[in-house]
Amino acid sequence: MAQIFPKWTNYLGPGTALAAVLLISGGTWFFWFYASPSFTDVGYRPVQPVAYSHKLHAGDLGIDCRYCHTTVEFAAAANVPPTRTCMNCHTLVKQDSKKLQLVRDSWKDKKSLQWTRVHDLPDFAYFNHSVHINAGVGCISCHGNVAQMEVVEQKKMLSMGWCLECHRNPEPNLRPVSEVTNMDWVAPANQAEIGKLLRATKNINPPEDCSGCHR
Amino acid sequence: MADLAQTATKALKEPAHHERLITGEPSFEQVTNAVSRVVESKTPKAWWVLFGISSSATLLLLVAIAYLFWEGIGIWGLNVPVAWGLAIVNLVFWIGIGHAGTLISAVLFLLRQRWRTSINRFAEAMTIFAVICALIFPAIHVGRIWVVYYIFPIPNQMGVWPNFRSPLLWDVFAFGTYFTVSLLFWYVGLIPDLATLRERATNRIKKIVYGVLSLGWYGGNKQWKHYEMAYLILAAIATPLVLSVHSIVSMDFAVSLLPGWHTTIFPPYFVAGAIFSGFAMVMTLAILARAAFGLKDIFNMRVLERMNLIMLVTGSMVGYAYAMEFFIAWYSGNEYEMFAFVNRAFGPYAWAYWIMISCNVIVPQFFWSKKLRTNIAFMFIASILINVGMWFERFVIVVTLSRDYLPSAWGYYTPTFWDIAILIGSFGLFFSLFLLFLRFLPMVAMSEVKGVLPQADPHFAGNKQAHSQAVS
Amino acid sequence: MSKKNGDMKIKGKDYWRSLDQLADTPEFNNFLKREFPLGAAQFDNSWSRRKFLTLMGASLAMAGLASCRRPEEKIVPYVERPEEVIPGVPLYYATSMPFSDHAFGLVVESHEGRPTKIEGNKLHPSTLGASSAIIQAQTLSLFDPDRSKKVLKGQQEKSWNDFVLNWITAFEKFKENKGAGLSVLSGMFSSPTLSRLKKLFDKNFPKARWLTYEAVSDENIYSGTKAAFGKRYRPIYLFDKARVVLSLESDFLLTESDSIKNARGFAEARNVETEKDEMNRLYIVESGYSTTGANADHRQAFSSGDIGAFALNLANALNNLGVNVAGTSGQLVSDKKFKWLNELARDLAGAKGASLIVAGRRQPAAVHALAAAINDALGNIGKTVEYSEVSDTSSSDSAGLQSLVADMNSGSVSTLIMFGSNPVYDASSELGFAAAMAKVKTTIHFNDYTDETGQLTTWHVPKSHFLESWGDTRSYDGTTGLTQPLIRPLFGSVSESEMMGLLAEGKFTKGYDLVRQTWKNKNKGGNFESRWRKILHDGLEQKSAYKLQSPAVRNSVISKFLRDNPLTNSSGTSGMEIIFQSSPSLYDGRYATNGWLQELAHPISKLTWDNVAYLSNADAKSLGVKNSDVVKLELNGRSLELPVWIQPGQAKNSVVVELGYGRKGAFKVGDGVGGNVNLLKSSSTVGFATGLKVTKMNRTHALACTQDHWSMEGRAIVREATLKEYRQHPKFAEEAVKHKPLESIFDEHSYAEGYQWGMTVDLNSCVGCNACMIACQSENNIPIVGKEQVANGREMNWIRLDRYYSGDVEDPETVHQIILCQHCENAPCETVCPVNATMHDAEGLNVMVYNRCIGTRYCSNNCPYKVRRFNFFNYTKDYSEVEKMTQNPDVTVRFRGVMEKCTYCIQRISAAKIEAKNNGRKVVDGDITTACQQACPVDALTFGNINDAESRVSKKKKFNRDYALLSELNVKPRTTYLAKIRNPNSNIKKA
Repeated sequence: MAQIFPKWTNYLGPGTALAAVLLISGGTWFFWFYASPSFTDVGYRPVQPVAYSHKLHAGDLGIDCRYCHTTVEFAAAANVPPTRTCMNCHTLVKQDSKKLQLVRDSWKDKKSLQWTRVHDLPDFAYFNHSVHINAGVGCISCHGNVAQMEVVEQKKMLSMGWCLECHRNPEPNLRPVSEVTNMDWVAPANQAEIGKLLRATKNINPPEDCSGCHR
Repeated sequence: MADLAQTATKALKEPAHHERLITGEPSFEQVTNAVSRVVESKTPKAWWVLFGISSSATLLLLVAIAYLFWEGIGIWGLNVPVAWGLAIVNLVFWIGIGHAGTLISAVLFLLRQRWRTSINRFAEAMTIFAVICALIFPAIHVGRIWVVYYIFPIPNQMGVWPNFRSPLLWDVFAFGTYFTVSLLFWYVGLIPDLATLRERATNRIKKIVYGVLSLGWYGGNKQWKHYEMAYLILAAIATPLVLSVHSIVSMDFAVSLLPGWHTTIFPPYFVAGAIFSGFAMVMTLAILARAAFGLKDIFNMRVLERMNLIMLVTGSMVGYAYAMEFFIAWYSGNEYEMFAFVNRAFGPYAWAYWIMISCNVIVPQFFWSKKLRTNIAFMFIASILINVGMWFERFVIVVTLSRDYLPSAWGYYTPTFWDIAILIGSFGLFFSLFLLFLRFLPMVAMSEVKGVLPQADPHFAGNKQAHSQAVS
Repeated sequence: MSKKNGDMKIKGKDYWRSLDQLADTPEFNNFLKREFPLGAAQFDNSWSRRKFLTLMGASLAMAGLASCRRPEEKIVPYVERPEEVIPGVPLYYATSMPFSDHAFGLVVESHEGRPTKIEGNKLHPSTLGASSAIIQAQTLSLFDPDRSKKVLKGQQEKSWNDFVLNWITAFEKFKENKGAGLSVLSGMFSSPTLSRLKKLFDKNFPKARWLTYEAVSDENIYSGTKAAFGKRYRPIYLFDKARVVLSLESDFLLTESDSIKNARGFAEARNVETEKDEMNRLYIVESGYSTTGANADHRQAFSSGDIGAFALNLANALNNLGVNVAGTSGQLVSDKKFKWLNELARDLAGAKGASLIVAGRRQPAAVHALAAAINDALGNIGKTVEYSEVSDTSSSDSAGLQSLVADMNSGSVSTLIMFGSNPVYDASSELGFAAAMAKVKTTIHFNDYTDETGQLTTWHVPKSHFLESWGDTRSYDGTTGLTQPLIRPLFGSVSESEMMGLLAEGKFTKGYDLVRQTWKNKNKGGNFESRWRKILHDGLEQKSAYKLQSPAVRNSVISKFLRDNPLTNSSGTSGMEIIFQSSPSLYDGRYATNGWLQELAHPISKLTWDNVAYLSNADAKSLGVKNSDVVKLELNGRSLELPVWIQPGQAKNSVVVELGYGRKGAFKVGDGVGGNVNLLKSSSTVGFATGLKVTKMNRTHALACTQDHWSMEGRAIVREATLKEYRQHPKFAEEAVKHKPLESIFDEHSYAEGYQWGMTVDLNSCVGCNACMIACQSENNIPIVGKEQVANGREMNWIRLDRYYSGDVEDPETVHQIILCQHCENAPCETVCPVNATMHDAEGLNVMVYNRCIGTRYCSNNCPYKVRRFNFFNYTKDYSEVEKMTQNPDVTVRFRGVMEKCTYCIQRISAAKIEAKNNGRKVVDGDITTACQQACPVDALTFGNINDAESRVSKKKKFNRDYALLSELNVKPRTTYLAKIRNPNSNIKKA
């Protein structure tokens, strides 16, 4: 009987096995990389309706974060300021700037500005700003150096694993509460000791249980 | 008990060399022809009819599953307290059915029970299909099917692993291993026969398909050597699975603290029950195939009788387990446990309980009679009844949920149309796959059957002739 | 009827169109945007739920495809943030809820201007910080999309201005003729402002008639006190001071007026901390099985008509003991044998000044008069019961309704205003109110729904919910309080005071101004503004209660009254007795639109979504009916078909039916639920009637009961003892189950550090009022699932109230048991979850992570208490934008396919912990109250840190009554129970 399969088909078996291994590991790597928040979320930098520059306000002018994000110390949410806050200065400063047209409209028509959320945790994660601020976790730890950002972008993964990293070992990220909003604060050489001390004095035991964030 | 054990051992003893395992004294060629003819002949009308029916039922399964995904688990009759229903009943039932195949092909192989050659391919195929049917249920019975992957230990951004203490996770590993090993075992066994079909194939498509599937088998000595070693190793791997898989399934129940579930007898009792029901299913199918394809010599009375004896043994074990459960419940002095068992027998689901007892305990006892265990009609009916009974056994266990600790939380579970639809559908899928198997693959392990023919004995008189036939 | 139904359907469709229109108004648009920046599609109401689910399934699938990258989310900040509002931090405002002819003082939690949760006001005597199921359910009623949204003339939509102009014309006309032909049929109220405006109305229209009618009222009580004292008095009970209480068919713990305070006082007098404490004793005679009956030490069931005879026989027995009950000598005494009457009399006579006779509102005036006389004779007046005259209050007058209808029929009424009432539904059908109304030229209906009445009137004006209104109230004891709005009217409705102002003054004044005017008049001199602020802040005016009086019974008057109203006439009439009982959930039907209340299991029968004819076992046997069989009830030629429910302990030969069902103007929630028993009432019937004929129909009606099994099967689940037994075996509760010490083969986890949360449930206090269930539902966003699902055992309440009977089926004892997640330290649910979706946290909480749950339901199977609830369908997804506003933003709204259960209100625990942490202190006892605990009128639930030896919960766990349910499983529940103690009279032999 005539051969229906040429000789090279002998390599099909091992070839297929090899391909399968490559495909599976390649696929895993693909998802590991492209479906991870470090790829999907970090660097998210939506265009905002008003070209507000944190670099100018928080960096160059040195306005404290809490001037606008007033509720950050005592509420779960660090609020986005009402138009009123903008108008506190901009009734006097840059009254005619074209960039501020939307803000003035909002003030005049009593209609809210609509910002696009950059740092967005899922709704089933109940994050509370105040408790982190009062524990001495700097803004910069999660938001990056906002004072250097012309347009705000997400710098950290904000994934659950990332949160847990710090909850398991908060010491490297602790600083005196007075320095929380200070973007230029540099961790001292003995951060390990200071972190331990801060943790002990403030009795910081970040929850690692599900109930810490989910309810 | 001793009597029973003796009889069973005697019956299962290695047949004497002179005993003919295959009746009718066929030649190697006749065996090849008889088996291959089924695949090569024109598709019979009856096949189309049966396939039409079973594939319609499969379609029903698909519709039921689609609707389930659309609407949610609520389309079933589940509630609190009875949060598991027919899906789990079917899962355990089908996994149990699968066991006979593995037992026949692996355990009996290792025990050198040569009479298994007639039915092993058949039973292994049944295992594969039953496991496929079974595996549908754990996947669809969860509330949020789209995140079912949480159950697999995959590294993730959440830093969360599955719970290795949960029997459901053990199931994942148990089922996964079982399915993989069974599939490999079956496939390895198929290779020489696929090669036979390739050689006999008359058109190019069949040649290529069977050619690819037979992985270049040409029947050389070296190949046979590797083949037999591989087969032996797989049999050795598969053997513990016979015990482990259903033991782990039983732990889904036994690990819980529910009265009626929380019992140490479950693992052995589930394994016995699984083999019991599996043999019954093999029996049902074998009788049908035997009649339909004229394989009376291969599925001969000697094989069938032995299977009936196994059913008698395992059926008695199951009956013993039922009695022992009751005894232990009483002996424990635990009021919840006692209540659970009295409730099984006399509560709202007593009807299911008595169906179970009649089919599983009483029916196999008739096999004590030689006349009945060699009667085709009787064994056919008995095998079906046993399967019904074994399905109800799982049903009785699952609905034990309806009455546990606090009477205020008691409930009643009534299957809905969609519950029944997945049950019927799973049978449809099973039979569809089985019919496809009958149509396209050799349902008897030709090479192995030939191995037990007298001609295969090197001292056989017509040795020369046999040798020449074996390669053809 | 069928035509009306048809109309309603059309209206149902209209409604959505109108919501769209409403949604176009800038305010509403803004509001929605602020709350729901992402927005969600509107859907047509005519779709079935199934269809809707289908669509949601589709959109879910699409979301899956589109969410490779997360959806963009908008932040919409305020333009100018109101000073006190901090996004995400709730605010609490005091207000008060008008109810019947009294009111409840409340504190309402508001999230960014959206009231989400109601609590009692701790300062207010009507609630003392607790509440009831009906109060808790008010947030759902507020955000009910079926509420009336537009002024209607006929079926035409009109504007509020149209109505105002129309009324002003009429006003001028009636002013000229002094109001001849003008009638108002009003619901009850108790409000200084409404009362002031009503006086103005009476002044402007001296010839007009103002009639108040409600189907459930204390009318008989007032008539009774008038007969006894010569003045209409309201009795105020001091249960905490009463050692022996007799209830003459009074369900004072749940359905009677002032039940929250009654229950609190009763539980206080019943509380035992050690076996040395004394407790009160409650006797009750009643026909149906009430919540109060379930809490009694001695209960006897007989027809309502025999209660008067019982009271009279008791008076005679007391007379024989030398306690002379005024007016009873020479009165006929029934020859009926009442089981423990003499023992009761001795018990009462032995507790002079510390006993109390309470008669229920269904009983005729004579029984109330007699109860007052007995209380007087026992020296209880001024000690356990006090009386007050009521003012600023308008109470029901059912006799007046008859003459109003007669006038309507004769054509002498040209304009009829229905002010917050729904007489087409709840007036006795004998009166033929709808037909009479058709003869009135102009009818104006003012209510919160276009209900049965509103569908037939010339004008319909939507009424605001009390959470949207300015107003004021007087509670049962007369304490005045303010009702302040928590939200602007959602649907362009007007408040009661505004409408009354318009009717009385002929011009529209804002509610705020009307209320302030009233209070300014009251508070002349001094600094009004600061007083006003204080009252607004506290929710009540201190020391404003009615003056308490201790009048004496007038012997001659009452004896004549008793002769004229004989109490011993029930025998002789043929047929059965029918008793009209207000529903513990729907009250008189006004809450039939509230899904929480519809789905709330009846405290005794555990039925939901239906009213039934409660029959005794004996009567059911003789009629040949079983549960769910439909019977036809015929009374005086009118009939109604209702399914049967066999109620153990129901009096023989009597049928109890509940008001509030069979609504035809209660829209998608309430329409077609149950039967309207008002159809059987005649105008003279207030509480009960005889001559009922019951026939079996050959059909059944499926009923949804949340608890099918009634017996504890001899298991030690609810552990109880008599006071005597308790004194002999103080540790009986613990010893009820004997097992060897349970030891683990593993090292057990230590919970010795930090906060460790735990709870106790005092079964001796719990009266079974259901308040906790709705409180939990409101706090934790628990969905309504509907009758079909409840019938299938899929109710979602995280906390349930189990009820077991024991003893004779004709005369059983009843116990209630609250079951919620027990938060086991060795939780069986946790080990079996394959994905770690339910876990233990360091503080001993058994937590549920919805987002991790894949829904294997194994945890529920393995829960010995069966407290886990599964989302079999996507119950929450078909909420409209308005309904979504009831949701608590601090709690995840669950999706289909996830398991859920009690969390001990973890959102409250977290909030308290964060608050404490931010302030550098520890959480102290009392910082955290769970929703159920807060609502409980009797303080049966105590939650706290069990690691703190000084916390209330730790102390309670040390009581010798403390036991863990199913402790033999060694699951180590954090919730433990305090056993129930009954205090039966040892001279009474058990049957």
